[in-house]
Amino acid sequence: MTTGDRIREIREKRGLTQEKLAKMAHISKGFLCDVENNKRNIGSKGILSIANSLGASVDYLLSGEVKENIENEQIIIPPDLSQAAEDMNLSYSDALDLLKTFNSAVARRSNKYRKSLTVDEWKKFYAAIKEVFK
Amino acid sequence: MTTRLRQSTKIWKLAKDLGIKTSNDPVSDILNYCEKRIKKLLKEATDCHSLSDFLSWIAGKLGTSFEEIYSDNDLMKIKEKYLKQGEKIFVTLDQELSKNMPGITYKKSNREPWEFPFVSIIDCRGKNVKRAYYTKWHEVAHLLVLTDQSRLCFTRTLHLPEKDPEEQMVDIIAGKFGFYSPFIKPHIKSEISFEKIDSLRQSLCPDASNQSSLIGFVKAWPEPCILLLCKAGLKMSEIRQAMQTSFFDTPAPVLRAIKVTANEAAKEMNIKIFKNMRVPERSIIYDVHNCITDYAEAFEDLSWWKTSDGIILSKCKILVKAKSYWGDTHVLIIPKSYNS
Repeated sequence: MTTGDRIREIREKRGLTQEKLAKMAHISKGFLCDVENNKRNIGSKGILSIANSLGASVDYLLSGEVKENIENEQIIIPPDLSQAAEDMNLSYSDALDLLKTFNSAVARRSNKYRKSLTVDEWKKFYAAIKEVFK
Repeated sequence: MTTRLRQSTKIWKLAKDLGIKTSNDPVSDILNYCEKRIKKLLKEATDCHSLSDFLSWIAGKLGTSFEEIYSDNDLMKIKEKYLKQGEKIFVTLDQELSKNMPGITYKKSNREPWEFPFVSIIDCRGKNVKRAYYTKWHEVAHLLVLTDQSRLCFTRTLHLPEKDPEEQMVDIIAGKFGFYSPFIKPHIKSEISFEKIDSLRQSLCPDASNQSSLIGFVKAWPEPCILLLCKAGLKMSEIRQAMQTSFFDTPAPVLRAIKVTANEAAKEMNIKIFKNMRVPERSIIYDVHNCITDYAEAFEDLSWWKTSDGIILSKCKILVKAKSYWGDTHVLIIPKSYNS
């Protein structure tokens, strides 16, 4: 598969027409058509623009490389979460799921030290998620 | 700041987690590691000419896209969009973002393998808009040094230091690559000036703030230069004295170099002005500070600068360019030869 093939594949998965994607990526429809048909090469600016419009990774579009979600090998449930889970009668997998959700924030720009949550904060965090994902 | 950071166990641990064989300076080692990664990522960039293009490309290659929030309505829309995709962490997005937290990057947990693995939320509401460029670089810098998360979490203590050492390290990385010299050097054809810095900002990174551009471009400039922010203030011993004595005994503040940024070329020349040093009264910096003029430049000598202990700086001809910016006095100090 070529870059053009992968762009077409994802565009169709997203249910977008060439016209719509070209508009979103600020490129001409003719150019996108040529790229998808492997008639023209695309530069880094163009591929980035298409990737952002499709929500597809640049590496996938360029080389077909996919990044699977890699779980951390070592999982340490913090004591406060453990206590909160016990108070709320959560199963181990629920507690683990809560921890994974919290840990999905990988980077914050902040002036302050990042603190772990207290027992009450874990409970509030769980309640907030439960309210949305009933 | 860097000296303390070099001794931080968290920084040594970060270097170890990144697989770096450290020398005695983990800060430089991590910066070198990031530069190698950046150069590798740039190999596929065929048309990356400005700092803004560079940022977008590196972000894309590291697997993140930016979502910019300009209003509370944008915030709700983005929150809803990702909650619909099953990203549970977005339930607390509005609580996470604040004046002190202008950016946050989430690892997507519910995605197709070909989708971006991360999304970086950039708060551009109010005054945060001026910090957006740097915030984006800060998030990207985190991804450059991302390892197992366990080091980032659970640093709970009652007496928290001002800033996490890893955040400081990430700021240093963001500062270096936000104004990465290979993108700047081709555009440098004249002596450094405030106008030149502003014109570079407009053409290479229009989203960057004036303040961060001044610091970033001075640091990236190949010729020796020191940037000063001068304000009226007290010396440290006077501050301590003022806290212990009555209001009427407080010494009068004088003009000082409150912030000092020397670039590598200036450091190599051993040209120094120390933080909080008193500005010489005969310097043109006073004219700008006293609003006699908005801008002034003159040849002066570094030996006019004296520490509170009476130590006089080495004799060196300098070109001083002082400008009033947003009520503060900013100064460029450029060493010159007496033969020139």
